[in-house]
Amino acid sequence: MRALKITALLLLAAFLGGCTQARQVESIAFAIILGADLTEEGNIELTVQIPKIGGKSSESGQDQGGGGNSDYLIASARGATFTDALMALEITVPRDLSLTQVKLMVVSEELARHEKFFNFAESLAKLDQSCSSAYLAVCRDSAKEFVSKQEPVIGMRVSLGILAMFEHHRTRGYITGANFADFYYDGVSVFSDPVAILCATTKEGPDEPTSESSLEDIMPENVPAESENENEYVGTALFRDGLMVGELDGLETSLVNAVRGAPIFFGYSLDGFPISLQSHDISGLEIYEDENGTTRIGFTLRFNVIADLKSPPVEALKETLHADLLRLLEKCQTLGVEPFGFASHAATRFASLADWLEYDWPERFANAEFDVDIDITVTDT
Amino acid sequence: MADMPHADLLRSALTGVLETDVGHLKTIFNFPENADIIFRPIAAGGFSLCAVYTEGMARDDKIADFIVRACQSFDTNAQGVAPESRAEFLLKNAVAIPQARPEYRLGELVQQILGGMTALVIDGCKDGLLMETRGFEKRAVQRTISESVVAGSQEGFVESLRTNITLMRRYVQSPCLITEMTTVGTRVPLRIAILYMKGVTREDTLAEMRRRIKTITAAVVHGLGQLEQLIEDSPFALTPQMMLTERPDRAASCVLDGQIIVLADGAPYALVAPVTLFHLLHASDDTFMRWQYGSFLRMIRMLGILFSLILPGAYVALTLYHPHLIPMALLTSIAETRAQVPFSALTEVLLMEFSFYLINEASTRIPSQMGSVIGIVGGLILGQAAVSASIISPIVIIVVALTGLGNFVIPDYGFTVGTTILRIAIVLVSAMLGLYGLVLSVFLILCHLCSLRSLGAPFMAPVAPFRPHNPDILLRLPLWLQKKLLFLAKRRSWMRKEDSE
Amino acid sequence: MRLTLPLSVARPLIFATVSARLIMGVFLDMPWLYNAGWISALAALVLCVPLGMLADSFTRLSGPGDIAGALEREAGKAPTRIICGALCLLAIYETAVTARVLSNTVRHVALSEASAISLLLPLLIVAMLAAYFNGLALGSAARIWVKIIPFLLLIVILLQMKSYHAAWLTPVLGPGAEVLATGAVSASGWLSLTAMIWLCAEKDDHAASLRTPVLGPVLITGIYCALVLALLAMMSPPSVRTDLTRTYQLDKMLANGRASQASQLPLIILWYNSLIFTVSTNLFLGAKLMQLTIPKLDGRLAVLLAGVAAGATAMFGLAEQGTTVELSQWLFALVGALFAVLLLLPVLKGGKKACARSK
Repeated sequence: MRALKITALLLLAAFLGGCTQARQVESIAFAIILGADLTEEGNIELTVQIPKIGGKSSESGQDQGGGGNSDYLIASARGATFTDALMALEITVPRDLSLTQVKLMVVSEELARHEKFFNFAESLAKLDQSCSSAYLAVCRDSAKEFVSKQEPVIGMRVSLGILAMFEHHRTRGYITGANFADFYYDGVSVFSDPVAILCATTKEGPDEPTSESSLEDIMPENVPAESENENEYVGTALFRDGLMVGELDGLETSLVNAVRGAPIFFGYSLDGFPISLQSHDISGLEIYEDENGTTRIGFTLRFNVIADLKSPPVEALKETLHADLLRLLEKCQTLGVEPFGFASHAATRFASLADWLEYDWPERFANAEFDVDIDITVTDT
Repeated sequence: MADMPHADLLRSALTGVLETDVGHLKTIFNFPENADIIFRPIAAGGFSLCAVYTEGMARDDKIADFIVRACQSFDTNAQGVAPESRAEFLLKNAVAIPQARPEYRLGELVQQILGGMTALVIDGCKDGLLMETRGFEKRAVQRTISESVVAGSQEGFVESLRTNITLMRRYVQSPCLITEMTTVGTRVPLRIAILYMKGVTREDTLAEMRRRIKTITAAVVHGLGQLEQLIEDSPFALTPQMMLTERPDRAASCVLDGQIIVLADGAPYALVAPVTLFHLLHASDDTFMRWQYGSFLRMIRMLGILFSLILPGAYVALTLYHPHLIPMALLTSIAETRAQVPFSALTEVLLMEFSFYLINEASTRIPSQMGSVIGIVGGLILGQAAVSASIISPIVIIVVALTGLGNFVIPDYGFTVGTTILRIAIVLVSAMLGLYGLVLSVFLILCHLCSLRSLGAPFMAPVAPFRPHNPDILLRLPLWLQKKLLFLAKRRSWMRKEDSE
Repeated sequence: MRLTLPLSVARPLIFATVSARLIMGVFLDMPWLYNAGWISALAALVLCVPLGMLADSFTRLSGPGDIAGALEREAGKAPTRIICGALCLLAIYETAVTARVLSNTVRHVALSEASAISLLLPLLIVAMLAAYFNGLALGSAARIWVKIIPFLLLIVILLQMKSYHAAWLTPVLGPGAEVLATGAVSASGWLSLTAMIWLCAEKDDHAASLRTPVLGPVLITGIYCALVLALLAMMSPPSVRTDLTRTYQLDKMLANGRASQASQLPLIILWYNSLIFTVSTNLFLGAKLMQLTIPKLDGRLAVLLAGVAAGATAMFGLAEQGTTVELSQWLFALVGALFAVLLLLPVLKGGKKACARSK
């Protein structure tokens, strides 16, 4: 009995040791969006959007869903590094700041192209509070402004609104499905290059469409549309060696997604003829060296086309898509970026990582030639 | 230890002198203070007798017709009968009661008189006669209260040992069902019956049960609940290691599986041992219903038990230490509901759990006419008012309500209370160490359960350690797949099915 | 009090504990194997097969009772006790190593500000209590846990289904054959820890029918570990351009970023419980081996001594990643040599007689 008492006391003492870190959920400020800018002085400026938790009978009586900006707290702080900025932010926010529920990280293009960016990503990846499942977007202008304008215009909580919005954009193919973990793992691996979502805040009224094709050349700033929602997500930011080096428009992003094997639906306009395309899969991917030592990449990209009232012009569509695809591949070759996921396929031919690194994939891809085929199946549904 | 009053007399035998023997009995029974002990002198066949019985415990009409009148009216001349053979003579010629036997020990006579039998003390004879005249008031066999089933027998045990044994006999009509009668309690004995199947129950288990019962030194044992506490393997464990059932069909099923049943006078249930954890989690319904329904209900029950054990602990751990593991939509809901509540999540849970136990305990004690009060108090005051007054957040009410429901799907009441205590421990540890504490405490409980034994048999068997068993543990698969006898039964028992080998 | 471990319940214990140790060693402590750790695990399995077969043969030929007792009869008291003593130290060290990894995990998951002692103390007390419940309880609990593992693993796999890319298993040899071979030697060391469980076990009625009481669980453990390591490898491309710390690997294993944070829960439960089982089993083995070395030692005291020693080792930083990996390269050689000495001694001493069935 005495032994039992001693054990019970010891257990109690032992368990009591850890109870210093308990935090009530309502006393934590959960950031939903994290933004990062590069200031003129070369510092990092972090901005967070935090939903205000008022309780069901809060004094303000604000509507919890779909309200205006007043439902959210926007806070920002600056520091020489990510860690410094974060510490400053923790002082500014009047609650324990938690980044574990961040759904979107927005980085300004200026920062993404700056040499500080890789360290920024590294710090973020190795943060105690893992937030790596958040979507990563590169904003053409100020991330701070973008974060403050991100509102749940269709009446949802911001966290759910963001997820629903990305799900919509991703299945439409206008953005990549990249979250921060994908970005970071691709960045520190030796295969394909990482990508991020491209976004911007529309500054003025809608642009006039400049092309007959509905998506061609459309970038987040010049979507020919008008909406209460000022933030646009269209396109892809391309990275190489930890820095942003280029961008892709809406159509190019859709094609990259199709080559990566993501099932997407997107509308396509061929001389005014509306076509609903569904990427099927990529087949027959072959990467090899021909007799001249040139790397050849061959594959067939398969699409389903839904025939509505009249048969779609399949051959013409094939030709256009083929040309678009080749243009995209060449653009990436010029930029020295390979976002298609070819590398991991090419690596299967090698025994070890050392052999693969020796093969010098970036160089090979930059000079590769393509044997691309487009296969279109017309379906009724 | 102080001796019992009149211990010497109780240990003595009848003397053969009627006045002396009746005097001894009167002394033992504290006559005339004890007014319900009846001493009825009779003259028969030329010698004197005295019938002794307890009023109320024995049937007066039976005594009058088959003992008093039978003795007074028999016309055989007993003059030639030797005085010491008078008991046997009366047994053969006068007494008209089938169950009767000579008895010379005063202690035994006293015990049986108190149990409702009638003793005849005979002048000149050192043997008395003990006759079965029990006829006290008892409850009729009624529906079970705490182990109700939808399909299956509705009979429950009652407080009469004899009736309970009869019920068992009705369900198990085999000559191999053995009923051993014994008593426990050194000062005020309690009659108990040990029932088992000969050739099915393991001899070592039976010997262990007999040994444990024999070694009980308590002066008095109040029913089976106390008996269980006196013979269980680990008195400090929070889990019962024997099963109490009020269903004779369940007890019969256990006895046929090679388990031992103990019945006691005054206890409307049977004690089953050895048992495993799975006996405590299974209900009779599982077997009565078709296997699909039985399996489904059992799965629901297991899930309920899991909820009951860890849900409040998991809520406390997740909200206090791991909010990142809660989906954002749920997290904001929790935070919003908690924003106006003045207590910490732990206090809230403990407060609500305590209120729940209060309602539970009150509903057990409250007279049935006032039962609806509990619903009003529980539902309106504690539920709605507490939320309106921002004392408790609605999410905690949902957690505690789910926990309570889960708790009550456990068929064994003792296990229900044990689970409740374990749950509070888990909540406290989770509040201190989060999920780490929760997993540590569940691990410790698991190891503890695996270390338990029920009458020597491993408590978590046949799963751990493994013993051959039927597919009737978490799921209840079809009966035609259940060919094996329970591992607690004797190996190569005659009860095993022909095609089980 | 005598510590006992029936051979029939030692099998799930081997699976529950050695698999966690192997995955921990290969994935967390040797990240330089990148995505080819599963090959090292398979190679380790091949290296350990002869040891398993040897142990099985001895178990079959020895009479009833404990394995250590049979070895004592065949090889002599002194060598057996010396080897038990050496293995006891190893078991205590392994307890400390696993406890340290568990405390690292707990800090990574939630209690980042908690002191090491406040995390280690409850763990060691729980492990000591579990060891005090004795081998049958621990083994039985492991059997139940082994039945739960597939369900949790299935949930984890379903949640992460979209994240798996078979192509990330290539290049097949990852860091190269030489590095993989070194990894295999370390992995075989961890797999050979099975020997400690075997040495502490005793043949019971229910183990009599087991054909391969050691080799069977070793094979299952090795294959399971290789599969899990392959699954982990398929979740992300090899991270060759960053510092591979234990924390980084933990994050990769538990969160991985692809699925939502909420889906970490089953994996955290799986990982915590596996490590708790490993700590408790190692502590029990340490105490049991201590009792085998000093037979008069009371089991309770042995458990307490093993717990205190493991706690001290863990607290003084002797069980950190670097030291553990350094030591692991010699582990297989050590356990293998001890085995060889134990099992060859009877042959050297008595030739054929040594292998005869004990009466």
